[in-house]
Amino acid sequence: MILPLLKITLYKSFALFRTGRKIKPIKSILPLLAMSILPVFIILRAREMFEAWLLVPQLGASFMLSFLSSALLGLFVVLILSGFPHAFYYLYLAPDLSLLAALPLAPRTIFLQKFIEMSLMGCGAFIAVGLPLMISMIWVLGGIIRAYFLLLLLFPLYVIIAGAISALLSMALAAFLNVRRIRRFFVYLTGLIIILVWAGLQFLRLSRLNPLSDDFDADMVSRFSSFFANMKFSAFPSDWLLQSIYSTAIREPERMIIPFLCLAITAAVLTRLVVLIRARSRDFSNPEIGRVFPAHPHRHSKGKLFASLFQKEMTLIFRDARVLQSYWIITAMILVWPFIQQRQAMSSIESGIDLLPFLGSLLLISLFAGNMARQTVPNEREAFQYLLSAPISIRRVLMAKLLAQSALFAGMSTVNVWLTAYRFHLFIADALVLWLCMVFCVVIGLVVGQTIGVLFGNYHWQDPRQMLTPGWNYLSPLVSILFCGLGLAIFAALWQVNQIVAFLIFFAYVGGVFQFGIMVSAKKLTKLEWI
Amino acid sequence: MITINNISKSYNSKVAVDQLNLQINPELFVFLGPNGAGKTTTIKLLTGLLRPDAGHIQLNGHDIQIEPLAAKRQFGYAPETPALYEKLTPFEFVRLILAIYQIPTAIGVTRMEQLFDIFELNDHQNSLIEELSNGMKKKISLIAALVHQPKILILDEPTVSLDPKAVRHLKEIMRGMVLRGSSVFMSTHILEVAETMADRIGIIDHGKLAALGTIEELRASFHVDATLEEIFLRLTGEASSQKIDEFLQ
Ligand SMILES: Nc1ncnc2c1ncn2[C@@H]1O[C@H](COP(=O)(O)OP(=O)(O)OP(=O)(O)O)[C@@H](O)[C@H]1O
Ligand SMILES: [Mg+2]
Repeated sequence: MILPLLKITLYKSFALFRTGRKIKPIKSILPLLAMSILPVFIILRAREMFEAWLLVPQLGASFMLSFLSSALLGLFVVLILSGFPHAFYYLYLAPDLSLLAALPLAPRTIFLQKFIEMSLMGCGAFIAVGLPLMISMIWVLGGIIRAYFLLLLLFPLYVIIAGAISALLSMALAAFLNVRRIRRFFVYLTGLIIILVWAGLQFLRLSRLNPLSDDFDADMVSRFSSFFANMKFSAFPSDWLLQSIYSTAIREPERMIIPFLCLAITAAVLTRLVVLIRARSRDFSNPEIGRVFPAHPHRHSKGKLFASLFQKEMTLIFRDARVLQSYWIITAMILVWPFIQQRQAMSSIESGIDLLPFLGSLLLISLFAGNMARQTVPNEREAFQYLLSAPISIRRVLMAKLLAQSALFAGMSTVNVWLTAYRFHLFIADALVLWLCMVFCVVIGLVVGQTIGVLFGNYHWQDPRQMLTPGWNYLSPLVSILFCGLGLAIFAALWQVNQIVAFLIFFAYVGGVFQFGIMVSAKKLTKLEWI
Repeated sequence: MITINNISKSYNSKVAVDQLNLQINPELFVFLGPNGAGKTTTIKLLTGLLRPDAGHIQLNGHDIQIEPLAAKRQFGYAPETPALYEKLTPFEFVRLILAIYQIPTAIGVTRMEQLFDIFELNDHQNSLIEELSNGMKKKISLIAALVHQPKILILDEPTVSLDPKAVRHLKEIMRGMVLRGSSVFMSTHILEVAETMADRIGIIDHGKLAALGTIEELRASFHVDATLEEIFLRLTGEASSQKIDEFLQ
C-alpha cells in the first residue's frame, strides 16, 4: 500500500525540475549543474583542508574526525529546528491529506508516506553541506567505493532521525496549540537560525583552520583541539553516521557494526513512534481559526488607483509568511553586513569617495532586491486574471510592485548606510553618496529581477515557486549584479571628471533600465494568454 | 452589447472554438453546452484573457484587442473558479476593485456593503479570503463583478457552489440589470436557470454553435412540447442508458 504513495512523493520531488513543457535535455541539466556549485566547492575546499590536517602530526585524523563530528552535530540541530515547519505542513496541513483520508487507506500508511516525504523535503541542508564534507573525508582517506555507497545508504537514516525528532516535538506542540500559528512562528525561527549560522560562519572564518591559507591561526587550532577533547560526541546520531563511514573508509568494517545498528534501530523506532502517535489522533484537517483584519473604510477618500495598488502590494508582502520571512532574513543580513566588513574599507575615504570597499554591500543588496522582485508577479497567482481582465494598464501594476519593494529596500539601505557610517566614521557627504548609490542599485536589482521573472516565467500560476525554470533562478542574480556593476562602473569613471555629471548619468542609466524593464514586462504580460 | 464576429481559437492543434458568431443585445443570454464544448474558452476570449486566432470581438463598440482598456471598462467578469488574493480580506479585495474601476468611494462603499448584506457575507468581510468556504469565495468573485454596475456582465457558471438563497438573489440582480439596459452573458449547466431566466439561449458543441434562439424558438424547431433537456440531449448526443446498464451489471 505504501509503495504507490511513495511513487507520488517521488513524482513530487522531481516536479521541481519539470517545467510542464517538453524541454531539451540540456535545459534540465543546466539547473542541476547550477545547484551543484556549492557542494562541489565544499568538496574541493574541504578535501584540501583535510589533507593539510592529516599531514600535521599533532592534528591528524582525530582532529578531522572531531571537526566533522561537530559540523554534523551542528547540522543535526539545524535539521531538527528547520524540520518543524515541514512537520507541521506535511503531517497536519498538506492539502492532499484530506484527499488521502477519504481513500480506503490505513492512517498509519498515510502518515508513514507523509513522514518520509517530510524527511526528504527537509534534507536539502544536509545534501548541500553535510554530504560534501563526508565525501571529502572518504576521498582523503583513500576513496573506497564501498564507503561512498554506504554513505548514500546511511544518510537517509540520519535525516530521518532528525526529522522524527522534530515531528515528535511538533506533535507535542500541536496537541495544545493551533497548528497554523505555531508553524508561522517556526517559519520565522528557521529564518533567524539561518541568519545566525551565516553570521557565525562569517565571524568564525573557517579559513583560519586551514594550514594552507594565509589566514592560518595556530592559536585557534589549538583552542579547537582542546574544545574537541572535552566533547563526547559518540552519543549522537551524527557520530554514528560518521563512525560507520569512517570505519569503512579505513578498511576496518568490523568497527562499523555498532554505530550502524544504533543508526538503523533508532531510525526505525522513531519512525514507528511518529506514525503511531500521529495516526492515533485521526483529525486530518486543521482549519484556520479566524483572524480578523479591521476595515479602514476611509483610508483614501477619492479611491485613488495607484495608492490602492500600492497598499495591496504592501498588504500581500506583510501577510504572506514566506515572503515576509525572506524579508526578515534579508534585513538581518543587510544590517549585519557593516559589522562583518573588513577594516580596509576606510583607507581612502579622505581622498573623496571610494566606492570599492562598499562594492560588496551594493551588489549584495541589488542581488537580494532582484531575488525578491523575481517572485512578485508569480506571487499574484491565479488572482492575476482579475487584473488582466480589468481596465487597468499593467504598467501601473508593475510600477506599484516596484515602488512597494523599493520602499522596503530603501529603508534597509538607510539603516545599513547609517551603521556603516557609524562604524567607519564616514563623512556625512560620503555617507549620502553611498546611500544614493545603494538606492540606485536597489532599483536596478528590482527592475532586473522583476523583468526576468516576467520574461522567463513558465506561467504555472498555481505554484509560484515553479514559475521560473531553476536555471533562471540561478542566473538572474548574476544579471542583477551585471547591470548594477555596469552602472557603478560608469559612475565611478565619471566621478573623477565631474561629480554632478556622474550622478546625472547614473540617474539616467537607472531611469533607462527602469523604463526598459517596465516596458518589456508590460508588453509581455499584456499579450499574455490566460490558458 | 456584445458582438462576436467569426472567432476561432485552438489550443496547440485542438480546436476549442470554431468560427463562432453571436450578437448579444441588452438581454440575458445563457450559454449551454457539454463539458469541454468551449464555453469557458469563449468567455476568456470575450474578456481578453485569450487572444482569438481569427475574428473580432466588440464590447459596446470597443474591440477588445484594439482598445483593451476601453473594452474592459464595459464589463464585470466572474471566472469559473474564483481564484482570489488569498491574503486579502473580502473588504480589501472589493476596495481594490472599486479603485480599479474608479468608482467614487462613497458610492462604491455603499454598494459594497449592500452586496455583502445581500450575500450574507457581513460577518466575514474582515477575515482572510483563504479562510472562507468555496461558496463564499464564489460570492466574493460575483460581488467584484457586480459592484461597479457594469453595462455588460460576463459570468462563467455563476451558480456553482452557491446556496439556493444566493442563487435566487443573483437571478433577481441579473434580471434587474437587464431591465436597466445591461447585457448579461452567462454559461451554466443548470437547465432550469436557462429555461426560466434566459431571454435567449445558445447551445455550443465542439466549439460550434448548435442552436440559438428563445426557448420558444428552440421548441418550435424541434417539436412543440420538448423540454430544454430533451433539446439539449438531442443536439449534443443522447444519454446512453445501455452503457449504464452494462456498467451496473
Ligand atoms: N489549457 C488548455 N490547454 C489545452 N486545451 C484546453 C485548455 N483549456 C481548455 N482546453 C480544451 O478546449 C476545449 C474547450 O474547453 P472549455 O474550457 O472552453 O470547455 P467548457 O465548455 O467551459 O467546459 P466545462 O463545462 O467543463 O466548463 C476542451 O476540449 C478542452 O480540452
Ligand atoms: Mg467551463
